[in-house]
Amino acid sequence: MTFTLIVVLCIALLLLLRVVLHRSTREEDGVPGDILNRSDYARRLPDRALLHQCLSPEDLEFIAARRSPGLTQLFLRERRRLALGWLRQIGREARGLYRQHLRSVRDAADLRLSAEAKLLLAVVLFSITYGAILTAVECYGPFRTRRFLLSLQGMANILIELGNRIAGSIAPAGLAGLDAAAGGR
Amino acid sequence: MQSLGQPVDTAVRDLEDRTLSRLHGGVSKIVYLSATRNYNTGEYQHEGLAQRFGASIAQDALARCHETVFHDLLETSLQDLVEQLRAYIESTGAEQQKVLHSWRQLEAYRVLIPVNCDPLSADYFITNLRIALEALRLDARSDRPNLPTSLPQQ
Repeated sequence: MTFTLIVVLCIALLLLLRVVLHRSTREEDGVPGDILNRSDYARRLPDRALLHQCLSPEDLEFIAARRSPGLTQLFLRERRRLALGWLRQIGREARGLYRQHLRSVRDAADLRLSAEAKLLLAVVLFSITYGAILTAVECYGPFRTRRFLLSLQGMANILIELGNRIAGSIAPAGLAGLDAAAGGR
Repeated sequence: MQSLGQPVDTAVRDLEDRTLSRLHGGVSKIVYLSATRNYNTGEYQHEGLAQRFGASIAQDALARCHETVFHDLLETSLQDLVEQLRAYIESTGAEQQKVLHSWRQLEAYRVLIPVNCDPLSADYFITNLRIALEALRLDARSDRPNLPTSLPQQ
């Protein structure tokens, strides 16, 4: 039950974070988007492909097929350690990036409060999501957390699709009006 | 970053065509490339390549090939890694048990990591090799087939 709550919280926060970052990068003066695009900043973040490879289900199946408790324990222990290492590194780098940003804008004359507020919100959401995922991986291991996240993400996508259908079916005129106002994009 | 047509690119192609293409699998290649590196200075040395392209270009070409092979191995599945390791050990002509024992005890695989590698990638590589060695050791001890079974609980 606790684990399900943690995972639901993670999904909700990830979706919210995605929306916030998506909006921020679309801003013409978007400070967060600029930060993520600068290679000096982005290259400090750990490689996402490494975590993906680390949590590969094929590797897990390969180890399971050998039917050796010792080997399986070694594999799961090391994968958990590596996943936690990856998470801690991205947390460390994100905190470092924000501190660096704060130093650079401390004396800025053209400080944009709305952009700063959005960035702060993204940082807060990141911290909460980071904490939740870290706890889940520590308590339940990376593979079980991954399976839960994948299945919940799939369910969330279905819910979003159904929600859009419901919205479309109860207010077709309004949506058509919005489309026309947006120039049919 | 060198562009195509630069001497380093030519040296890389030369190294791949003349030497690396003859080695079977990424493990054999990374062992070869690591062996061209001086353990004291960290510099790569390859007489033939240096004669053709100069010492500096040969050094850059070897470093680049080393990093490429290393990153390919990072993306290799455990199953492929075990097979590559098995093929490498067979290619040495030495007794498999002795090689496995030596690699596990001496942790000789630590010298296979490129110098500019980030710590997380290095850790992942070392861990994968340790697991692959353990899998090979188990295979050597028992001749039972590796039948699929249910996934383990964490």
